[in-house]
Amino acid sequence: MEAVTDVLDPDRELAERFRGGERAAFDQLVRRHQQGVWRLVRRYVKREADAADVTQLVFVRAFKGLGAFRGASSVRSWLFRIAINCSLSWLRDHRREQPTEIDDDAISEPAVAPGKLAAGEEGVRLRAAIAQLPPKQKLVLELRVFDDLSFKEVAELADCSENTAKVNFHYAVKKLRDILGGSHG
Amino acid sequence: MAEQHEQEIDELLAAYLDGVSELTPEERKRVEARLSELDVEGTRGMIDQLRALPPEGREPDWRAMEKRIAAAVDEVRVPWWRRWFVPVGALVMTAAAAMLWIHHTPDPEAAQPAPHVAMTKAVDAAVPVPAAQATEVWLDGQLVDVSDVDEDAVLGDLDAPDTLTADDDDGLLPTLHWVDNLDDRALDRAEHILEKKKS
Repeated sequence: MEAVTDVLDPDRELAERFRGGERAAFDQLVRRHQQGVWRLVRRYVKREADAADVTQLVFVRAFKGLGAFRGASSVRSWLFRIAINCSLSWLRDHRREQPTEIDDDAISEPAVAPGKLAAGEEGVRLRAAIAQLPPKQKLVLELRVFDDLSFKEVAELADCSENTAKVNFHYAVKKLRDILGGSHG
Repeated sequence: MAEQHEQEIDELLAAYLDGVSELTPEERKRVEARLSELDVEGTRGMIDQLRALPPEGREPDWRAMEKRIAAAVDEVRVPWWRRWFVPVGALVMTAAAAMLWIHHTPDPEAAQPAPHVAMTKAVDAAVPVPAAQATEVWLDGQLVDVSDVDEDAVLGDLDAPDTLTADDDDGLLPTLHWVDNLDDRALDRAEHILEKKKS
């Protein structure tokens, strides 16, 4: 199974090259994953400037730790694990500073066309429903749907078995349908 | 029992819809057998809607982000010579301290004899040598050859009176060899005087 992971993980070679002293390999990893890491971080850290800071921190930690990375998981899920840890740590340190109701960035968003307004409202409803999910279901759902991780990777990040990840995903989707009512049935 | 079985299959439905290949053949078979009874389209629609959600917030300038990360990484990056600086420095300091300790022995006079002789003596001291061959001794920082010394001249001194203690006027104790010359009468008199002083 490990061998299959090695073959399937396109980042493994970059990690090896980095360990061999090639700094450019790390830059390539950054280019490949900065977007995914930022999106994950942004779900925890609501201010964009803070999310950028945390994203930077994630890669600095990855730079320090990549030499010791032995490939028990994929490089991407390893990076995402660092991102989750950094985000939670940042939230602990800045609990009082987090915006609670209205995001400053949301106020400055450009006006949307009337046609897109309905979709925008639907998105807000959907996000509000996701926020109501139990933490584990929410984590599994977001990692699966927004970060496009395999159930194996989701399980690694959620500290559960692959089957548990699948079951949590099922209940998350079911609960969302229940919360949103008939419009999604 | 049948309900529990159905629930187990239902729990795999969302995973099935989102990634059939990730289910085991057995799981897949069980889910597919149950599909006709469930609202598959509703679940699929929900997942599609979730996937269509735009990312939260405005995405940053990725080029700028990349440069920013590169700059932050450069700050923590340690050049190779600095990585070796501390261990190599410590090694050099230890070696220098060891050399100083070896070359600055506590007794500089002891280092006076030729190194060859000193080395020879050190080796000789480590190896047991028959008494007959031990003709050299280390005395007061100098090597003395005693093979030519007249034994009678040296050992004869052992029977001679200890002139050093008897005649040494510079000693800490007063010289009392005159006491041996007193006769019995003089001694009686001295004892008598001492008795008187006591009473």
